[in-house]
Amino acid sequence: MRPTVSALRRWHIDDLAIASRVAIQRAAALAEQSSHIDRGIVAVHTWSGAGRSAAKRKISADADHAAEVRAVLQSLASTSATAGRELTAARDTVLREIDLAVDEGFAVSDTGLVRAANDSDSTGSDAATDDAATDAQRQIRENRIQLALSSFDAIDERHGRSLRTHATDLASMINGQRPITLPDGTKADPDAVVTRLRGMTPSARRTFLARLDADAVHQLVIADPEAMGNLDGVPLATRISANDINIRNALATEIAADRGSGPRARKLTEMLTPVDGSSRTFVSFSNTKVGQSIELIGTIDSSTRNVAVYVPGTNTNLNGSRSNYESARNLHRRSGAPVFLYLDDRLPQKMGHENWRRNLAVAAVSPASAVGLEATDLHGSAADAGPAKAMGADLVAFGRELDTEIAAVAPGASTTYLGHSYGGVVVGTAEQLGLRADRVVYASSAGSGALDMPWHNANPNVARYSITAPGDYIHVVQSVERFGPDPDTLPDVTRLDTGVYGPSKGGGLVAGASAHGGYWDDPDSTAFANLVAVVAGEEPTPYVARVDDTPEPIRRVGQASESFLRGFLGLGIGR
Amino acid sequence: MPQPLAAKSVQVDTEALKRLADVCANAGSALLDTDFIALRSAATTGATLSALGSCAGPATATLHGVGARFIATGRAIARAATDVAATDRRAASHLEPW
Repeated sequence: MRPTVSALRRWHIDDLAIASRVAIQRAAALAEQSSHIDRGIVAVHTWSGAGRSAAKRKISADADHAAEVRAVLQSLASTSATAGRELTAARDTVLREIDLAVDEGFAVSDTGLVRAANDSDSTGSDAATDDAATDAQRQIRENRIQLALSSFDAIDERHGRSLRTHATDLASMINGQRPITLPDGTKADPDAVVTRLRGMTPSARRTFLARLDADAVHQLVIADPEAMGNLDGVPLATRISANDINIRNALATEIAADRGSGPRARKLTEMLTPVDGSSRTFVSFSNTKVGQSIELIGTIDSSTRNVAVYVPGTNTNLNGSRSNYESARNLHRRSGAPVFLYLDDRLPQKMGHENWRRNLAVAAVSPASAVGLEATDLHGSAADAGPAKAMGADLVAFGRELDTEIAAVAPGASTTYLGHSYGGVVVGTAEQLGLRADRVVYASSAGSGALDMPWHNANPNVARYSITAPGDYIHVVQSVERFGPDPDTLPDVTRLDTGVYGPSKGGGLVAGASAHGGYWDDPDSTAFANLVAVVAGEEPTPYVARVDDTPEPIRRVGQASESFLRGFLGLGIGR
Repeated sequence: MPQPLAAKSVQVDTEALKRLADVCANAGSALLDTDFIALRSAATTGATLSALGSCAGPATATLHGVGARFIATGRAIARAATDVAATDRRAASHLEPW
């Protein structure tokens, strides 16, 4: 029901933020008490036998119940915080519109009707003209106030519905989560259904979930947000709401472990902080050491014409992903396309050559030992093809999810996959494994794929681009062809111009070692504008050779690196 | 659910079991001492604030439900410790010299 203006002024919207904090605190208390018991039974290591097994099952069931209640409390916290934020903004809009009307000499009633405060002193035709103009202005002001009140009311009703759902959830789970109704009318425990979902293919999962009602899917999220937030085949909107719980749980875990001011807690807090008034949305999240997340920047709806997936490179991790996020956000802002920032926790966190001096010294004494050391250093590094192979396969699966989502929500929208540096190898490997894309960009890419096979993009008309600045040391890696042929020189791949930086970065040539990632941080650069053009389905500008790709210092490094790498890699390490 | 087979070897430190029972009881009590009264807004105008207020009762009841389960588990473990100790004493009595 639409509030009156006087009621609106009296609303305690701040109570919603307080409620959010209370729900978070209670969820944390629940987790803390549950973990005390978990630790308690682990500490009883002198107990064996059937009694212990039964106790473990009982404690596990209690912990599961506690986790489900915790999930609802985290949802309640999220809804309350969002409601508080949106209602505050909506109320500000109403009151601002009223102030504008009053400033123009109108009076505003409690229901938002606008009338002239004083009768005009004018007479005759001038007065009639004035009256008509005033009435038109009065009508405009009234319409704006009415619209603002209606908008406030809609937001209030929407969040009221969500909170009533939370109340119903909580009331029904005093002794455990209630069963859900399956399409055949039978009842099932939500945990058991999630277990079944885990064993299905993404396609079967999607079909199964499509036949459940919204409340049943919601109960599955409460039962196991980690699974529902990360399983392919689960609709993206469901994954987003599940990961909101997962991120809140992860933050609570960090705080409980006295790491509340640590880098991960700061990052999680940042992820939960709205940007431009909107909550951030994650279609995948796992609080691993490196951190895994796929963030959707923007929304996919019927007006969406283009969608992009950005896979960054070596040393990208969740805690340090701020610059990747800014790049993805700029790509979204400039292209208008929703952008997925694809942070896989298997992305290499080291180059692999960090200990080369030590290994060379060891090699002089014991070549076999040096090979062993080098093998250890290269494992999981930027020189290792293994992570790209694993990530490439998963990117293909994610691409299928995206295509399904697009077909349902934004039919006809095109997809662009952009892989930077090692991320380019991931995208190339995905192409080798059958990724379907409309456009692909190999950006400063270390290669065109980690497998010894050609691309098998499911779209025979895929448009491929590469973009690599002159003087970027990645040219050395490309020339070694550790990860397939150099995408800059492959036929049917258009190399894009890198050009110059924007005025805020000095306007110089995008070139040299810093240009490996420099253009990603400068949306005004020629190179970034070309990325935007590709994502938006526009015509990018082809490469213009202004300086040598591999000037003498790079050539020397390249020769040394090549012989060094070939020495070790020839022994079968890595790829 | 199928019952597990009786263990072929049993080892119990009944004091440790009692400590675990206490941990469960304390965890449950801590939750029973908690409520969600703060969710009730001083003003209950509008759908959002009134719905928020309606969460307070169920949230408290559910949290107390979890607490009660923890306490019940603690009691069951304490009873198990007592039973095991009694069984051990009874077993010993069979073997006392006669």
